[in-house]
This record gives sequence, C-alpha cells and structure tokens, in this order.
Amino acid sequence: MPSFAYQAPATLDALAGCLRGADAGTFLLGGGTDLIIRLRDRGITRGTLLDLTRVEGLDRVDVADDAITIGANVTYAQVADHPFLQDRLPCLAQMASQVGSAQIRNMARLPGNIANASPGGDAVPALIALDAVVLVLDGSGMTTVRRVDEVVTGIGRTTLRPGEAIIGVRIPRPGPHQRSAFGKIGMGARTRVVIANVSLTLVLEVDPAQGRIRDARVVLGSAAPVAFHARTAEALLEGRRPDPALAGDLAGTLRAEVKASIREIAIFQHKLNDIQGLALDLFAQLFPGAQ
Amino acid sequence: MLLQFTVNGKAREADIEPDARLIDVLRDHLDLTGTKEGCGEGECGACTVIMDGVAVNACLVPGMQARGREVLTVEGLERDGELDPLQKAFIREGAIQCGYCSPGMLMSSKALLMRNLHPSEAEIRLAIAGNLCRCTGYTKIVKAVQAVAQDGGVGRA
Repeated sequence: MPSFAYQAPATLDALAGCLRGADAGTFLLGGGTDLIIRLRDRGITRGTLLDLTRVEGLDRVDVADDAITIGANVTYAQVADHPFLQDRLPCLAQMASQVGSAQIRNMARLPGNIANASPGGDAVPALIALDAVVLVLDGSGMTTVRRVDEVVTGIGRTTLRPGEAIIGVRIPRPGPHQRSAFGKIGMGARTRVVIANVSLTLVLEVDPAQGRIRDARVVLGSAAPVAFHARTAEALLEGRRPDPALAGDLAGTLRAEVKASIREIAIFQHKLNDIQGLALDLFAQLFPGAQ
Repeated sequence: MLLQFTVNGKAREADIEPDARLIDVLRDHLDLTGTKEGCGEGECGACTVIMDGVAVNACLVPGMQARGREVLTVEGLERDGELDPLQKAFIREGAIQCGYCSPGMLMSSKALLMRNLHPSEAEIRLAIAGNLCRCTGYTKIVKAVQAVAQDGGVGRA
C-alpha cells in the first residue's frame, strides 16, 4: 500500500541532510493549513513529508539593530501578538491578525504564504512593502538571501527549487519615523476569515520637521497575479503633506493602478471601489489628524 | 508510525499513517468522536480542538505534529462527570440547535477563556469567527460565552 515517509529534523544540519535527499515528491510541511488540503484534493498518497516544525531555533522573532528576523516556525498568531511588531511594524502585525481564523493563525506561518504564491496571500504584499528578504536553506547547508519578489513570480509559481526550504524572513529595522498599515477587503459574506479581494499595504516615512512624506512604499495585493508596488501612488505621496486632499488623490491614483492591472475583466470590477475605500481607511489610520 | 501524545490529560498512543490528520487519529484511532468533521478544509471550525493551549483545526493538523503535545477535545471538558461551565451555559442559553458545530464552538470559546477570563463581545466574536453555525445566528452562542465570562468561569448550576 502506498504511503508517505515522514521526516522531522530537529536541527538545521539535519534539515539540510533531508533537503539533500529531496525530490519532486518531497513536500515541505509547516503548519499544514495549505498542504494537507492540497494533498487530499489532488489524491496524493505517496511521497515524503518533510516536517519543518521541529527544527530548533526557528520559533523566534529576533530583533537586532539592523533587522528583524522571523523564524519559519513563528505562527501568524505570534506575529500578530508580538509587542515589537505591533509597535514598530504595525502593517505586519495587522496583516497577521487578519489571516484566516484563530485556528489557522495558530498553525500557519509566513513561509507557506511565500512558497504557495497565492495571489490572494496577505503576507507577500506586506513583506514586499517592508523590503523583506527570504532566508533559504539548501542541502549543502548554505543559507541564501533572496528578495520576496524574486521568489514569488506568478500564481503558484516561485523560484524555489526542490531541496530548498524557507527558514525565515528578514525585515530591515524600521526607522523611528516609519508608519505603516495593512488592510484588505475580502470575498464573500463574512467580514472575518476572508481571502483578500484586494489588499493594500502602506509603509511611509514622515519627516518630523517638515511634516512631509519623504519615502512611500505602496503595495497592492490580489490585484494581479503577484503583489506589486503601485509606483504612481508612491510618486504621488513623496514630498506631500498628509492632508485630506492627499487622501482623496491617493484613493483615485490607486483606483487607476488597479484598473490598469485588472483591465476590462468584468468579475474584477468591484476591486475598484474596494481599493478606494481601503486607501481612505488606511490613510485615516496613519494620519488621524489629517481628516 | 507511533504517535505518543497527551489527550484530555491522559498519555495516549496510536499507530498511524504519516499523512493521517489529527481528526482521523482522534476519531478513528482513539474513538473520540465528539470532534466533528465539517468542511475538511479549515473553513467551518467544526473540528476545532485545543493543542498546547491554542485552538486548531484538527482537519488540517497532521497527526504527527501532535507528537509530545497536549490535546484537549470536547470530551475533556467535563470534570468528574460534571459538565464544564461553558457547556452548561450553552445548554442554558439555548446555544445549541442541531449540535454539529457545538464541539468546535465550545473548544474555540474555551481556548479564548483560557487566556482571557473576561473577553468583550468583540473578542468573543473574533475567537469564533472561524466557526460556522447554520442554526443559531450566533447570538445565543455569544451570550453563553458572555455568561461564563461574567462569572469568571465558575458557572451557575
């Protein structure tokens, strides 16, 4: 009777050893919230389950002077509840708090969102906006560093090869004047536990002396096969003061970005109103005095 | 493969296939059929159990990931033949109709109360956002959890 082999390495060295033997039938297992469904949907009954969740040292958020490293076994619930992330990288904590249900957030982890490359994934756009890099371990025991947008290249497509595993993500430490926010509007009747119809991540640097935005990163999720920087919106924000007129301009600019991305596809037209509302919501959240 | 873990306070073991899910282990190997399978894809929450103190979907957890962990199922809520205050509140408030979602609702609510004795209504609704009920409209379920939250988990008789 066909069956799976199961490997649960306890160290990075042991994981590298398992990766050396990996082939097309090796499935990397994190929290399992995507993989278990996929194996059953596709009727896959043999192969190797390589369980990453027992690898020591990957369950921490390390806050260093230059960067924050989030290990592959840190769950969305832990990201959402982490005081430093809530305080200094609010878009990431907000994103994590809106992934799936409590049950999903208690098991699922950031690398799955990257490796599965779903266009509706919430982590990928937030990580792109934060200039995050992915730490990839291979069978030789080497860890390479790749940008998130180098890894995620299409719907369900990545540049990860068999024998490579994401062991964490690293985010440059935010400056003291960085503000950020994440929001999404979902599909279906539920207000929670939704897959994003469209998501927006804003990461802005505000000059405290002049009160002007001096660096803006604006990333749209679920508006194209891969999350992308809304360059016209970034150009709009840079150098501007956050006043109500700017909020309206941002909403209009993002609407145009989404419209160009979805073209005339009828079933996507509701994303246009959604992104305008999201833009106004997030702007109000970042600049409560500017309304 | 041999799975050894703790279920409802007791050391248990089962010989399972590597791709068996926690719900399969609980229901088919340990005869704990209180945990229900609804959608099988993490949408409905009927299979919710508590693992190491947090709510998880037993239909999405590989059984082997429970190795060495503590799992609490709806069968583990009663103490010495007496229902948990939460179970009593569900009955008293009429928070059960067909009952299929009830084990999951109870375990999501229990996980919430284990870390927050006095949750707000918003916190309760958030905690059960991953649990679908097609009968009650949720109001009575929220009321039942609130009733327990108000008397600190002691529960009225």
